[in-house]
Amino acid sequence: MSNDRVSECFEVYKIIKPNRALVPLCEIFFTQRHGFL
Amino acid sequence: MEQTASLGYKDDMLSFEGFRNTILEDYKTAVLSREVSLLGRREVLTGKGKFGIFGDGKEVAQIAMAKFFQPGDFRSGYYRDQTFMFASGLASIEQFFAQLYADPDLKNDPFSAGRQMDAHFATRFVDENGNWLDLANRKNISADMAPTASQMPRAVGLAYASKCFRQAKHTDQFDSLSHNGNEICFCTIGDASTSEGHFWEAINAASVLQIPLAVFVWDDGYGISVPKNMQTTKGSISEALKGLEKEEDTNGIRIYKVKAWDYAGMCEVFEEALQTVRETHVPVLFHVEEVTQPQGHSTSGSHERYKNPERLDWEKEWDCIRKMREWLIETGLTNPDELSEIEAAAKKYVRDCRNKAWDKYHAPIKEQAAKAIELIRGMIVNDIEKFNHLQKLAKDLERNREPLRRDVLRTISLAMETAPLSPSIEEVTAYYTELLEDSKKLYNSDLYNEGPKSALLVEEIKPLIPFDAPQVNAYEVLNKYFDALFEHNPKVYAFGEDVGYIGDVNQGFAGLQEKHGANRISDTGIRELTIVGQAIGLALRGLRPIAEIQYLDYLLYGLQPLSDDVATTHYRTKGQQSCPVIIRTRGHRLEGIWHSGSPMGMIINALRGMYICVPRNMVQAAGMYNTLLQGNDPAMVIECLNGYRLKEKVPANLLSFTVPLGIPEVLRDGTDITIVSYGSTLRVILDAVERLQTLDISCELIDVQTLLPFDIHHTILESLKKTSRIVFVDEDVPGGASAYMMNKVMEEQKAFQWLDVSPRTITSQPHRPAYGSDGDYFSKPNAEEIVSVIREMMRE
Repeated sequence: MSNDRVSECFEVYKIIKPNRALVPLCEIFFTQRHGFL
Repeated sequence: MEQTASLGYKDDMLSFEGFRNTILEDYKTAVLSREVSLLGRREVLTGKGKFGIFGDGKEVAQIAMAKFFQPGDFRSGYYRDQTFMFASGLASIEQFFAQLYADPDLKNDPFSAGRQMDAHFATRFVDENGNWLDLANRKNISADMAPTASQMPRAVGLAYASKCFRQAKHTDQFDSLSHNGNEICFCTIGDASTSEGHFWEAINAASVLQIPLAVFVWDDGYGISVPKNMQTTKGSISEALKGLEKEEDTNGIRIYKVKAWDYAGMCEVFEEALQTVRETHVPVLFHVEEVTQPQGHSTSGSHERYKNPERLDWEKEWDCIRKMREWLIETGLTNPDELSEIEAAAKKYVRDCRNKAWDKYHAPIKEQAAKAIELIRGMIVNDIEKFNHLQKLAKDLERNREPLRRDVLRTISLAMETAPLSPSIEEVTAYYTELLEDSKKLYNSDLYNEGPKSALLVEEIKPLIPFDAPQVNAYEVLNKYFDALFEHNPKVYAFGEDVGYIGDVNQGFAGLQEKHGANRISDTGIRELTIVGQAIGLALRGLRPIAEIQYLDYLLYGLQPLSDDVATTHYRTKGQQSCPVIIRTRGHRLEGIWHSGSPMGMIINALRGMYICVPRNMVQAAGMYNTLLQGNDPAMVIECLNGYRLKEKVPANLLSFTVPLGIPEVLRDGTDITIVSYGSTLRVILDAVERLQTLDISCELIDVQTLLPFDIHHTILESLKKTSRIVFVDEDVPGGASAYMMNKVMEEQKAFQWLDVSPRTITSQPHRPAYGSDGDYFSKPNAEEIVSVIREMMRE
């Protein structure tokens, strides 16, 4: 995952951090929204 | 249902709220879809819908799948995909119910205008004038079909088109059809349907071709009542397919297993795998396991009859929506109260949609019923019994709270029979006729293109044969024609067994692959079913495929998709999709049981919705290709197998001359008898005609040229008015296409009144033609038989 993507996801990560199962899903939604991998 | 409008993002950034809302929206879609299934079943069981089939148990998997379905992509699926359609924003719940009620208004049921059962979806591919829409920027649903696995051949074709586009030289004509072949064909199939040969042939073809096909197998453990260990080797389609799996240096297919209740897991797997498919064109199969089917197969049965209590309990526990609910709570994304609110709101929303759909469906019928009642009550009769009967008819219709169109028509018809002398009978009859005409538009239209893309509008341009043109082998006429065609029209593609490298077994394409590229003129495996499938996919996506079935006798392998899919596409979408496939094949007469068939009766009965061309030589064949390529309808051109080495001359206007469809050609003028035939048999008849001439019998010989359509201007009738005798000759079995021709001429053209003697047919024997020259002679019509029958008719 690119740094840009990490930083933009950070807000969400902070909240869902304890639940790692949600992290990939969050990344997928982000990709869907922004259209790049 | 807009797919992206409700995601809840702010400032185009992903926020926790946006993330959470997306998931809750997905849950809502799943719950809505389940409510649709539950209520839809009730609508059928209470009689409002005729039959119901639903996608319960597959909701979560289809929501995950829909996330990666992009503009430009295609779906070739089946009748369990309602949730995918809702999640993709391609169907509303109201539209779903409209189709369940068989609403014939395209505005209400935009998939089929009431022509298909519920959950048979489609999106528009062509506009009202038959021009292709910008499919590259739309999400596209090829029209669903009910026969199991029938979506597989078409799926191969839709994915194969992406390969064609990616390898094509760039042309502006392709801009609205494809973005460099990035489009995936999403194909869905039930686990039990993978037992069909269609599935295996399609998977092998996709693995060989390396095309962007993504197959989702919904595995709910049963094919109606038959469990999967009786359907599939090792009881697992992904295990059974392992030999086809792609390895590092091989072609093949990638295979994944996912669980139907694992929302996050499926999103993860689908995203990565589908991105790879898009980039590499390596096909993929997702074996979606642990699917449930809470309501059983359809409204026609109950799954309690064949599932044991343990299985039923398991299905309840592992229901995908229940699992998603538990997961949402476990992850802290929401709480039970919020989910209960979503569930209650969904129930109400679905009920409201159902009511709106029913009201819209029923409103025009209620108007018709009201008008009919008014007219019937206004019919004056002076017989009390008849008066009472009319009042009863009106009352019965009034009491019928949910009348159908047929109830209205039947009531008016009964009234007309009761009081034919009523002063208002003309008004009643006029209304009855008006309703009948309206119903024709609703239920009987659009079998073929009826607008500017109808091939029937193509006018004849005669071939210009230079006086000094040399005689060449007939196959060379086609070879020169195809060379010019491929040079001129980048949308034309040809493929089939031996079509590429050697240029087909009869050399129509000899040398053309090298000249025009292996992308455009290509070999296939021996697999007629998916050759047809390839053609369907290309045609639906705006290309002009010429798919070769090497011999007419092998057409049977490819007949199912031609009959069920190609021939019905325009009708079952009410003109929203066109499938201008051209099947090129050759037949009628050569050698033995499987190389001299002429099963024309079978073909014309199975393929209404296609044009069937039966050229007598290769110049006529080329003219027919020119005509067909100007229209949007599918067609089959059956060249004469024994005609390729006969001598013909090459027209100077190869790409512009046309042979009009449905217009017979009088090959020989005569006055004593009309002989109607087509294809190879014409040469046999010509021999007989010469001999009959020496006996002072003058024969008029007519080549019908096309069986569908058939003699649209009644040329044959005009001939019969002159001769008063008619015989129909072909190489089909007795009662085959010769009977069809006779029926068209006698019933439709009302030719019987011009007959002096009984009309006759001369056909092949009922058995398949035997091998060898004598086998041919004693199996097929021959000149002696024709001479004998016609002499008999002259003596009558």
